[in-house]
Amino acid sequence: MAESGDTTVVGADSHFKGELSFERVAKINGKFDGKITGKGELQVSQNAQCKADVDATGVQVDGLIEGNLNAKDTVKLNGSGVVRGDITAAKMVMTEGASFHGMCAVGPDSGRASSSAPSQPAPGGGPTGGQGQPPKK
Amino acid sequence: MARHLGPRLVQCYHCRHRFEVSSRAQSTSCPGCNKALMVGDEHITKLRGPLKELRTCGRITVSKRGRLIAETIEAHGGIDCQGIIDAKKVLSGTTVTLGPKCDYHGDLTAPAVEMQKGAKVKPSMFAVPSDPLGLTELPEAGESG
Repeated sequence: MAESGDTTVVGADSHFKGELSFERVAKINGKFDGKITGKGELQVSQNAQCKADVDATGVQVDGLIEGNLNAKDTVKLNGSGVVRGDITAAKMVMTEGASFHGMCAVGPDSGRASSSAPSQPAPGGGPTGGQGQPPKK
Repeated sequence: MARHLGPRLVQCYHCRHRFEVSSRAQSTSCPGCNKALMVGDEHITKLRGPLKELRTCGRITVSKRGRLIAETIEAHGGIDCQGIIDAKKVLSGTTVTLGPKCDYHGDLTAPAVEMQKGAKVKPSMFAVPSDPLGLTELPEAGESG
């Protein structure tokens, strides 16, 4: 694991197993298995594979993350990014082409929440049926 | 502005039968199952619902002041939400856009999602990309011969 300036880097030819915590910026270019906790931004590069639960202020995904993602600020899921797991964040930007399979909760309150709540039924007393469709012939 | 008036290919949301309709058509009946079908675009500019379902072969646009409440939403032409969508299940044939002021809730199945910064999402299951309708195989209007 290298440190360039304020950035902690897991190199492209590295396979890291364990728990990583960082203060400012961490960049995963290789493979990572375990848990990531940080106060700054995590960047997952295009060819990186990250099997980890992530807890950080910001996360930028260009590669693969398998695990739950919890961000106090923004999650950026770019076009080549793949997330298989739940995302909880205060803000989220998702680009067309990104892949995401999991539970999503985004909003100022969601960033503070530790886990996602179960789905609630639609408000307004539930469905009444039939509206919005053409009449039956 | 010139309007493209050629036929367009749609897929019935009841039986998945594919056929052509005029680009101006708002509704029709499916030649495969004879059921009524919405093929036009839906523009939601105020409260619409609660509905059991809102299904169309066209596009659903929810404007800034629009609010759509439905149990099931299906739009083969895609969804553009700048307002509020509250649903249990949402299916889209093309890209779903969630604008910066959007408030979204509903289990989403779509080939692609574009979420802009500021969008709020209540806990919902996302399956992206996925194509349960097989709509990505549909050629663009005018290419069908």
